[in-house]
Amino acid sequence: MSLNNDCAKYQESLSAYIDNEDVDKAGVESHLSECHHCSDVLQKLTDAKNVLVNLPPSISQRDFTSELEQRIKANGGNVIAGKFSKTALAAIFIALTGIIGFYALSNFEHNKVEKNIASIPENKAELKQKIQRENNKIELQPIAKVATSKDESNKQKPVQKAKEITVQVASSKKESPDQSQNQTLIQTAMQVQNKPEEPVNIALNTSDLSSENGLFDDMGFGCDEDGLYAIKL
Amino acid sequence: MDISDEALVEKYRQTKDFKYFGALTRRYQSRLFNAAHRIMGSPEEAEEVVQDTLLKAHLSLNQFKKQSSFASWIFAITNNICMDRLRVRKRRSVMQIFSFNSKPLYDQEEDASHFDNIGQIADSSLNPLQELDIEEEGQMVLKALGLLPEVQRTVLVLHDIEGFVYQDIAQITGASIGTVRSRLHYGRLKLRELLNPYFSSSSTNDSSKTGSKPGDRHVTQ
Repeated sequence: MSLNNDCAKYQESLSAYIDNEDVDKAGVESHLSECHHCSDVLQKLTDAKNVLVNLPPSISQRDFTSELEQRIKANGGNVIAGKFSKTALAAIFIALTGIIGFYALSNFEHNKVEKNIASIPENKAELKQKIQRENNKIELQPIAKVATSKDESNKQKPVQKAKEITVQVASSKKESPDQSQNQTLIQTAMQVQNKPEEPVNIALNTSDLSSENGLFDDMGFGCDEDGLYAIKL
Repeated sequence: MDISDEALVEKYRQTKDFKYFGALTRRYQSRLFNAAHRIMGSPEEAEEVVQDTLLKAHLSLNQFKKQSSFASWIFAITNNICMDRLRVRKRRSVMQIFSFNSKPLYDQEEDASHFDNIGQIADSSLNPLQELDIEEEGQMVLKALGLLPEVQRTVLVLHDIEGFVYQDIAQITGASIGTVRSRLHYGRLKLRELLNPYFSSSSTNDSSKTGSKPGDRHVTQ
């Protein structure tokens, strides 16, 4: 590596070097042995440091601790007085205003969303569903089903072809499928749809699929409160 | 009272006896004043900063957690108060351009010319130290410090004057260790540059080597 590259590499470390902080000491010293410029910089840094290290301390004659103690005693054990109390009052006022404003705004937003849901026409069902999800009101879309039973023991049984196919992938609404499992779920559903007489080994259990968000609009997923997920094929 | 800072905090929290809090703050009030003076440039403002620091420490002692040392915690309060005051001062200095009666505490034009004068003094046949006594030297360094950006000035004060390590300074200022390192590095270079007329004159007066440069009393590296 050329000397200029090393200068760029080591120069900013020179202060840390003279301060015995965490640096590549051997690297710095090796570079300094062959670089006059950085040696010069090191000297300047040392000069500046020494000036401050040896600066006589600035001393005040006041006993600030005693003053604080007297102030506390004068206010009956409470330091809030004078200028400080005005600041405290102002802070309390601002905080209260903020809290009231927050609640007012959140109620306004909630009412706005409710109004939005009511006003959406029927032919925009997907949008309606999306908004309802945002309000934690999940509506199951009538799409394909894989298993007809919610019972876990029935997972291994042959499924019946039905108009609708769902895959039970969660035992509760909280246990939602992971997005990475989307493809597997779709493939499983398609397999059942194409060959309904064959048993479907749904290897997906609740522990495989866990995510905070089980709602995948783009893939056409929906779920009901019991954890039945629907896949749109 | 030979007891750790953290133990004093705990004693005060349990007993609410001011003597424990007082023992704690007495350990630091001189250092706080010294640091605040170097950062603010004015002893009067530094006294106000220390008053505010102790008051705030008293009111918010419950917020002190043991992740950092008490020293770092209380110096962080001082640092925040200094930065707030410096911001206010900056806003006010815009108004002071139109006022002939007030003078900013760090008057950059005057201080810059002061450093030019140092060179003139140094050009004389006399040793610079015969012209500048220790108090003047301190004033010169203080003025040079005042010409640095606040963030560089603060880390120089915390490290070189107060002796904190990089990790503590990072906690006090809320910056990363890399940023602390960078500010120290460029702050020192800038300070050295500002004091250059003095250092240069010292080297050209090598014939009278009885004198010494600032900082030569205890050479450290």
